[in-house]
Amino acid sequence: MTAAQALSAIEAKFAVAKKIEFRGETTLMVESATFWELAKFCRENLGFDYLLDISSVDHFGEEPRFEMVYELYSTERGQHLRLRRRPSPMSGPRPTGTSARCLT
Amino acid sequence: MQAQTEYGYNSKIEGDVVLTTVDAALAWFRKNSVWPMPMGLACCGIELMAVGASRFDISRFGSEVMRFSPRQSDCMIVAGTVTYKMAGSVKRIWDQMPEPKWCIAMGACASSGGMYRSYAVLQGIDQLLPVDVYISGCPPRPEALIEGLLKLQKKIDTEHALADQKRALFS
Repeated sequence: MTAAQALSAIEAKFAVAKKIEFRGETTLMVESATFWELAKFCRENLGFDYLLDISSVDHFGEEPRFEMVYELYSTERGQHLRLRRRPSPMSGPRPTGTSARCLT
Repeated sequence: MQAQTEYGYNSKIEGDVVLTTVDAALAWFRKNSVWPMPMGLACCGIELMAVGASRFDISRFGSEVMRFSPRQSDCMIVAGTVTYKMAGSVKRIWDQMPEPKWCIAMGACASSGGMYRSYAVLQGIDQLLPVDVYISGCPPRPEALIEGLLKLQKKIDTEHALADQKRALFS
């Protein structure tokens, strides 16, 4: 599956707020409400089996203030996909995933 | 454990004999004394040092003996950004490590090139070496490395040391 096919599969199933392409890197701005479903879809259906890193951006003075950035990666195809969402402060904690992955 | 069957000829060890297979025993030896080759190449190396220090203490899992000689180590922990300049040395050191050996790609850079989408950086050490465990994070927390080591131990436990060796020798 190419990166373009993966993107069209996501866009066919979910409403993506904004898509940013920069030097071959794709970033999707995703609504908080559908984010977890979309992330699960990426992992289970599109082969993005590795969550490389989670980071955040502080948009000081704006509301909602914080933005979460998730770097997805496919170990098989070497593709990256970046998801960004701006959760509202009241959305509360979320379950964490395990950080290590084993190829057996 | 007390065995009722008489296995030993010596009456002093009678009842204290535990039976197992060679494969299981070898796997047990190996997984509990994984000697890491600390390939610290960038900031993940600092976290790797933290794992070896007292607060996180990797010696609880039998891996405190960091070996800087590839001949004496059996798990390469690639911690940090692998530039093309360094990649040759990493591969050479990997080749100098005796079998059986394992590899942990620690952090986003070692796993995929991380944020360095650049002509100077190898996009994941798995392009050069067979990686057993990938650990995410930029850099990963020491707990994440320890979890990765535990996963590696589980993997070593399921390996068939003797059977694999025979296959390699006689195929």
